[in-house]
Amino acid sequence: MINDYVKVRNLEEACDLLKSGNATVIGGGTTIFELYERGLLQDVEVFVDLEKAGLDYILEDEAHYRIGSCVTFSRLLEEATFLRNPQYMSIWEAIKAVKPMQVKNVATISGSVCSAIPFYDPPVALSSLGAKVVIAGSNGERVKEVKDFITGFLSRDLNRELVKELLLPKLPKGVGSSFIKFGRTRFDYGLVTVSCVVSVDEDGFIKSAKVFLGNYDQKPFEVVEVERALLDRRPEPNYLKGILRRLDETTPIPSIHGSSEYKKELAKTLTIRSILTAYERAMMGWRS
Amino acid sequence: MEKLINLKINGQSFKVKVKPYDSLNRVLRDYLGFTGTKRGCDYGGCGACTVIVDGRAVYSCLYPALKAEDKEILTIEGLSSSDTHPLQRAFIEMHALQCGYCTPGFIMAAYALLRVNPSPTLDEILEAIAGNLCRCGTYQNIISAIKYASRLTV
Repeated sequence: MINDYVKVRNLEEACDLLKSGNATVIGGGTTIFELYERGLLQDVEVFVDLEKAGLDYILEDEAHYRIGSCVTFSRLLEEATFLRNPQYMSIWEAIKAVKPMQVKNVATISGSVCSAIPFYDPPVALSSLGAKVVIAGSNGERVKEVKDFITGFLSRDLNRELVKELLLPKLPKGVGSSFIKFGRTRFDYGLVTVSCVVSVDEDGFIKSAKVFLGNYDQKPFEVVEVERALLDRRPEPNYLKGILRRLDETTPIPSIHGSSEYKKELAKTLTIRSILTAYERAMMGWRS
Repeated sequence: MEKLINLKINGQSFKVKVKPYDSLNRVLRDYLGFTGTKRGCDYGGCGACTVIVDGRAVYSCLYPALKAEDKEILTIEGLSSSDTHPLQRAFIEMHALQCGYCTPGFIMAAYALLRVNPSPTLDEILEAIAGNLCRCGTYQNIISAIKYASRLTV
């Protein structure tokens, strides 16, 4: 039963409250409020609101773009112009795929990661780009990749801690990314989403690849065998069709809108499109 | 634990006691009587509860009342202090409603759009109302009304 709502002024105050074990952070509130109303936060007594804790920044250092945990989707679309570069287009597209502006105006990108809900779009794109979360607690800070931070459905690696900021690695030219979502309507949650990132050399050969599927497993699903099969190749559609048969061995989570078999076929088609788009964007870096 | 907070709604200040888990929608409708803002799904899926907070559209059913403290809240009741607002007029003239339950939410979403983009394209209108549902299916007329309103003074 929630019996207090505290607007903290700084990180230390937040960490102190979290130490007790019965407090949870509320970002935009769009997920946690619903979880509470559905009775899923029975052991939480305090909401910790970070809005006034000075975590609403978009900064950069030599190696990373740093996004404070209170930055909303709308602010990212309006202010983070680097997201329109070929390297980061998957994040741009994943945020644009969240349709209701009423959500984009309050939901935070860190919140979407901490929610650990399989059909949320940004965590898939962030995982593929090697984004990291900076986790703060009363014992200090630690850093973890988003793909490892989310451990399952509604489950993440937080132990009386909070996510302070997201780190997006600065990527060189010759890297391109793409996020594609397929839902029943363009405004719905994705039945399957895919985010691909490839880096290519000047001759057009893929030197590294990341392929993640969303709403496919309990957490963003990395298709490692496909990533490996892309190395030192140019992505011809027939070759891609061949390597994506490896998805036949997977078992995506079914839903009332799409069976496991359907999702598998859908994932193959979307992944081909996403790899080709990411590749085109990566090549743009060399042409410009 | 209840807290006494100050909410600025439609330009007026209201002192109200709220619980930590009260949504802005509950406070607006049940505590303060602003029933123009509707409660539909209550889970952020239908948009009937849309209000403007500090110039941006939000789902009031998912917005903690305590987060709204000291922010400027605009509800359908505050859209126009005297005459009918051009958006309301446009919805009436274009028959952009059937049962009318979703209408305040659509109007507030459209208001948020036209505030920053006075001449939106069809795609921009569709994006802006993507978070709102009309069970009567009057979407075509709603879109026409927003286009029409964009030609009036909003």
